[in-house]
Amino acid sequence: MTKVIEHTAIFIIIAPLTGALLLSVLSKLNLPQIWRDIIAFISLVIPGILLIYFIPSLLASPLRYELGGWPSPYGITIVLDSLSVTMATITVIVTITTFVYSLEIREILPKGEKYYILFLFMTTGLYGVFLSGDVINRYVFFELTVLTTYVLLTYTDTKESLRASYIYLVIGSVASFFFLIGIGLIYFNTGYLDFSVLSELVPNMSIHKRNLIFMFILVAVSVKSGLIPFHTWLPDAHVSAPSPMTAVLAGITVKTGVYILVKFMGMGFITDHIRLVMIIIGFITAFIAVLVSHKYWDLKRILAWHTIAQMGLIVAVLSLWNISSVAASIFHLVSHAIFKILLFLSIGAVFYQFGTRDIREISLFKNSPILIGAFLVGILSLVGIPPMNGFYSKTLMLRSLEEYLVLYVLFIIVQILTVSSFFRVLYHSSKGECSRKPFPVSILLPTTVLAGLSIFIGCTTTIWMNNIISPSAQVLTKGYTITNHSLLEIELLTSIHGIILLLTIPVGIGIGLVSNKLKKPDLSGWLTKVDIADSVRYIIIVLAIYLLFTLL
Amino acid sequence: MIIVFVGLYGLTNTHNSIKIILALSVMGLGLILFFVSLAYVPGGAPPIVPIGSDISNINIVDPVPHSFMITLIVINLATTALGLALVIRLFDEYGSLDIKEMIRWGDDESD
Repeated sequence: MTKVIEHTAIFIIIAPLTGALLLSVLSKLNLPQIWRDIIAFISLVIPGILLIYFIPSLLASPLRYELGGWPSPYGITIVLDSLSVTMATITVIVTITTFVYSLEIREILPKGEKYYILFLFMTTGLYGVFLSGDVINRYVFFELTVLTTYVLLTYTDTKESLRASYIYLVIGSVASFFFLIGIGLIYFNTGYLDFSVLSELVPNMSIHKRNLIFMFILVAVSVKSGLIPFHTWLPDAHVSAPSPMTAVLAGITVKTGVYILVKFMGMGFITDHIRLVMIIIGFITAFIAVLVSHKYWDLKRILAWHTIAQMGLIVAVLSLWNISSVAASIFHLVSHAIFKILLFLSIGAVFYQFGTRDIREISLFKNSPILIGAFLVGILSLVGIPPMNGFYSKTLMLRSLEEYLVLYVLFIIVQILTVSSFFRVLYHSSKGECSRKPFPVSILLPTTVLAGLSIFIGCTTTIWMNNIISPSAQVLTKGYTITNHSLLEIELLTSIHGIILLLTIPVGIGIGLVSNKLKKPDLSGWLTKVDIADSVRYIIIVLAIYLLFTLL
Repeated sequence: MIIVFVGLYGLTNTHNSIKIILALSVMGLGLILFFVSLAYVPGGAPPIVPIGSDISNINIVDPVPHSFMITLIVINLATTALGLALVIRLFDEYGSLDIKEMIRWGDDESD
């Protein structure tokens, strides 16, 4: 028995993998559907139980599990520290809720059982990305995740989804190759692949080498996270995928990019050049994406652009790389994952009910009250209204920017535009006329749980920040700390930043009202419809600019 | 490394969706060669030695890049296969292999 407990860590990754393999073997046996549901559900729940079992011991010290008993720099390790466990816990929440959600729409998906198998493989990949302790395994698990995502995207089986999946496949593979070049350069310069060893060796490398390597990795990661100008695959993929897949894509898959970025920055790749590049990219992304989101009528597409914008903000704040900014962006990563999934799942429900996602045709407020509640919690959270988690994470991000006035103002502009964009959504969607259809429990349950979670995390911000996120930020930023805010008293609601954040809301609503009257210029032709060849050219051009910039 | 850029050039200069996938495959192959050639040790011995033997004067090849490249070959194969499968479905739906035409298609339909 002790043997089993010793090896518990690996079962987090093995459980969904086993489920996937079991299901693919059993698919020949014509089992009743309920058995397949149960198998899939159990293999998704096991990692959650294991993580809960680990959390108490983690607060004391991170846990390293060495596969096959080979010691760390040579063997493969699984690292359970507070950051990776946080991300893995989000994965548990995301996968279980989206799984329950997809129980209902399963009938409209063709080839339903393969959907489960791929879903479980994707979950395996996600756990692998978050938990593995070396670069190469992270890459391999990441490929597992994206390869299954390519297939899962096509499950609505429409022209658009096939095209989106194809474009994602090509651009994603180019990104993977850049990531590999980065890994190769790291390996041949240091001779190690393990994160903990690398974090001692990398700071000794020359600054040019670090810039060069990190640029390859930054390009790869920004493709995965959909930062402008690498975002071209993201809106199409989000729109055409089935709703639960959109939720997973926006909630977790996009975040793996930033997680990898955080890990690499924690290794000591951060230099002043890189910081500047990331700030520029982040704010350009946030600004353009928020502006573009005003153009569309499709709810999913609007939210997809907001995902891009929020990722831009996260990267920009992250690049300051002091304790408070890292902690704030990690917290925003977590809270954004939760409320974005909530939003996409409720949009799926809206689509289920009205058969359209055009905000001019739906009437949100004639909906089931629980669903309206959940949707509003999501929107208010993204906009930043107090009891929701989005407010707290945004206030923390603002606080970490307080020494940089320009960035502070930019953040507030982006925030105002976000508010006006969502005001536009609510304004139009309250008008439409539509009949309603009753909801099944499997749609209501996940949305309610996520909405509750969003408020719960918001109300307990201090606990998460002080006990989990700030310590991991402290570990990550060692040696690069610039400012150290007192992390004990967080009275965000009454702080100046919180009040400024709240003030943006009436301003945003005002702008939203004005901009409804105005005829909007078409500012986004080249940004929204992009050919593969053009996207690859963007990647090359930007890479060349980076390289020139950093090597000079 | 040059082959990687040949692949990249291929990506930027074709609209045929099969050729795009093959260009990706070429990029992957270029990467494999890049890794293997960097890991080349002149006169290297295989990294299999009996336990306890003296390894200080044997020029051992580093096995990590090679083993990783085997993984990469598999990933590359999977990506190529999946890409070509998608191309088949795309051809069924659009009746064309030209990616530009597929993208233009969306302009008529969506707003």
